[in-house]
Amino acid sequence: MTSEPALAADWSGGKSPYAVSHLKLGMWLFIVGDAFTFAALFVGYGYLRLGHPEWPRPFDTGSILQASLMTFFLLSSSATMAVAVAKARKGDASAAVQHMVLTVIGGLLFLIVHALEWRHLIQQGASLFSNPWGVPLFTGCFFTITGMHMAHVASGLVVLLVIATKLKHQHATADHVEVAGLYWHFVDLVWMFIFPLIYLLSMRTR
Amino acid sequence: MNDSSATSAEHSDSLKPYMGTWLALLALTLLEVALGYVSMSQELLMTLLLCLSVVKAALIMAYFMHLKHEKLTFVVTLVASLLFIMVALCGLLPDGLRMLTLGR
Repeated sequence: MTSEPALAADWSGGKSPYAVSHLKLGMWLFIVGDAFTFAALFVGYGYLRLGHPEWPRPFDTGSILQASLMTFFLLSSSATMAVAVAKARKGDASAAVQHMVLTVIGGLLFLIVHALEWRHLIQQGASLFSNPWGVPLFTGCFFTITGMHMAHVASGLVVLLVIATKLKHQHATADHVEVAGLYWHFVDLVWMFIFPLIYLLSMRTR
Repeated sequence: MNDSSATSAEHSDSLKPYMGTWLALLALTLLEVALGYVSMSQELLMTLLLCLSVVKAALIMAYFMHLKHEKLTFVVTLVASLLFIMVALCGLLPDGLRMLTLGR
């Protein structure tokens, strides 16, 4: 792609070797760090599950449908966020704000369905330290990982609302929208691992 | 990602790639749910689901997060650090089996 001398020139100082803004670089560094956190949680979950051959599989078709619906909401909100970034780049702030509002609605729907599902499990007697399915660690893992993710979705919604409001009043630029978008896509990306590893691998029919 | 045909118009006017990515992600999700209902060993199911999830994550990073349009050095730095931490952490997994023989 780049020849040797050009590469050396890039890295010998006075230039931005990655050719990204400091905002974007900062957000990507945060995302990589946050990915480490989730990776550690997933490995912890895998570790505990390996040691428990009778790991519960309590999710019925209703739960799987609910989780699929949540996946749909989150994926769609990611798509509208990508459009919002493209609109902001083109200088169309009002369209960008509209698509950010759609994104927030998608995120809210995700949170609402997720909260209903938590309530359903809690009503069945599940808590962080005990559950009716035999292995207490099951709900320990479930509530820790999905709770951590919900906290990310909730804080993402706050970021989106703040940036959308600022964009509307011309206090934010397309760079801010893009960086908020990066965070939102990351939250979506993490769910792409939670859905199969937590839900699909714990289906009752199997 | 070897489409280096001077798409330096980083944010082109067309929204088609986003629609395409969205539809592909939804289709892959449907495939994952369908796989969950196919009778197979838990190990095989996990392997298939993980492979599909990696594809979905790559789609999100390449198109939604624009990594396809970033400089290669940037992409390599990010992906290499992610791969490193995953490989390093997976070194812990075999120890999980030790719990099966604890107290015996």
